[in-house]
Amino acid sequence: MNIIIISSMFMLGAGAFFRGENRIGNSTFEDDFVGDLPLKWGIESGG
Amino acid sequence: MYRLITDDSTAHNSTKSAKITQSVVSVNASNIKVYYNNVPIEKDTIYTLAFWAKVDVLEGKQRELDVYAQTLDDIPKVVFLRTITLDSVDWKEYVNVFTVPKGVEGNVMISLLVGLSNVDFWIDDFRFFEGEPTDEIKAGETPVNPTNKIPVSWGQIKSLR
Repeated sequence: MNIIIISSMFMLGAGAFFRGENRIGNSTFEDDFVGDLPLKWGIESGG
Repeated sequence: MYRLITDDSTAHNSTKSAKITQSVVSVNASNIKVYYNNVPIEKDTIYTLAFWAKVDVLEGKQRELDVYAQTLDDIPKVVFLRTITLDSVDWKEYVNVFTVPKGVEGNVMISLLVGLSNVDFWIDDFRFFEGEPTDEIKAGETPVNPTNKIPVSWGQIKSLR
C-alpha cells in the first residue's frame, strides 16, 4: 500500500507563515551578505 | 555620513551582528532609515517585533530611535511607530508588541528611524512574528505542534496494526 504524505507547508501555500515564525530572514546576520553589507537589509537617507 | 555593515567583532548570539554608524545628527529621525522590505502582515492581527541591541560605549551610553512599520502602498499607511531608547552598552533585548489596524494588510517595510542621534549601535537577532512574545518559535524549534499531525497519526495507525 502506498502512503502519500502531503506536507502541511504545501497545504498552507507558498509564503504562508506559522504563528510565531520569524518573518525576517538574515536576522542573525550570519548569512546572506555581500562583503560586509547585509543582503536583505538596507539603509537610506530621506533628506 | 551613515553606514550599515555586518560586524564580526561582536554578536549577541553566534558570530556576527549589524552595526549602524552615523557621523551627523539629522533634523528628524526618518532622515536615516535602516530597513527590511516586503514583510507580509494580516489585518487586525497581533505581531511582535523584537531585537537585541547595544550602543557603542565609545560614543555614548544611550541613543533614541523609532521602531516603525509602514505599508508599501503609493500612499503608505503607518502600521506601527514607537520611539524607544537604547540604553545599554551590553546586549539588551527590546520587544515591541502591536496590533495591525483593521483594513491594513499586505507587505510592509520594517525599519528603524535613526536620524536623531549619531551614537553608533549594533543590532542582532532581529525577529518579526505573528503573536505575543511567548508565541515565538525559536531557531531550531519545529514550527508545528506535532499533536494530531500526519506523522503522529501514522505512528498511531502503525501501532494498531
